[in-house]
Amino acid sequence: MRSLVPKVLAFTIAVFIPCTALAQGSADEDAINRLIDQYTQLDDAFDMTAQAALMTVDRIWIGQANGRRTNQAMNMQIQQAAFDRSNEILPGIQQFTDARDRIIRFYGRGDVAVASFYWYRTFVLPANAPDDVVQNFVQPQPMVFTTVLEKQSGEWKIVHTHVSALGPPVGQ
Amino acid sequence: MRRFILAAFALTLLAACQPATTELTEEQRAAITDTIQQVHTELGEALNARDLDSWLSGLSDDIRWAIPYGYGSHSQIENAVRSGLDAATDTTEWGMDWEETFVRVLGPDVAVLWGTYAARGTDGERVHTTLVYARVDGEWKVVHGHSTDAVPPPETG
Repeated sequence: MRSLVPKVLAFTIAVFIPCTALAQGSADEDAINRLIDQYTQLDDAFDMTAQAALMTVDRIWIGQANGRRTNQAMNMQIQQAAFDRSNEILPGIQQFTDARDRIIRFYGRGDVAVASFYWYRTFVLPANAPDDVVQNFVQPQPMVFTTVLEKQSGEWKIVHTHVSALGPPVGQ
Repeated sequence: MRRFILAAFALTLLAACQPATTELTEEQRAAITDTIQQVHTELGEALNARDLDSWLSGLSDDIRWAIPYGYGSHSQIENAVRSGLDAATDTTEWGMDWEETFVRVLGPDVAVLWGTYAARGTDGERVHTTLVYARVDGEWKVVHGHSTDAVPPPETG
């Protein structure tokens, strides 16, 4: 019986632990990718209330032109108001967003992650948009996104966001 | 009996393998915050003293740092900072004067710091910055950075 113990121990370490760790890491990466997908889809749906559920209530948001927003509720209200205004001015405007080149890295004990990606948005104007709007419209510049996420009670939440414009290569 | 022993070992080891809860006390959070602020201050002082090697030692080898044209690697950051230092003739022409910084502790080994600094040698340019610190081989290092000019981006169409 004594000789069985080391064998069982070795078997468990060799087989179970790596499998569990790998499966957990992959599951967390999948979960964060789904969260980014949801974030993108809710942005395209202009639904900031639902998008806020993907974040902690005290998320910090830093944007290039808008500075630092530490009041998460007001930040989402501002963004919702901006979307609502766009829809009032151009009813039927559509937005399509792609979060490309995602890199997700885990820190701490695997319960903190940093997801970085590039954010490309394309707006499609409604058919009845005024000519002057159509002629002067420019698509938004792509953005560089950093999101810091924390796993809280088994669920990933965004705790910090930093966004800036993706500029042209240096010298151009 | 063998099955019982096998199951007991497996369950014990798997339970031990699960991420431990990382609930920190307020005192522990405060201590980590102080440490991060101190590391951040020392790195800033090293850079302002043109001690690039000391500053670079505070960055993890696999760091990603958002710079205007995308994410930069450790060597790209080094090249960018070195060219800035080489172009400046003294410490008044290149450096960072940090305003208040804030820290959010996310566990015993990871925290995020954010704040704004005034860039020396510019016409009042300010830069918003996010730095993710993690303990790497026992030392706190910047593992991710994101810096943004506190001005609207140019319209590029």
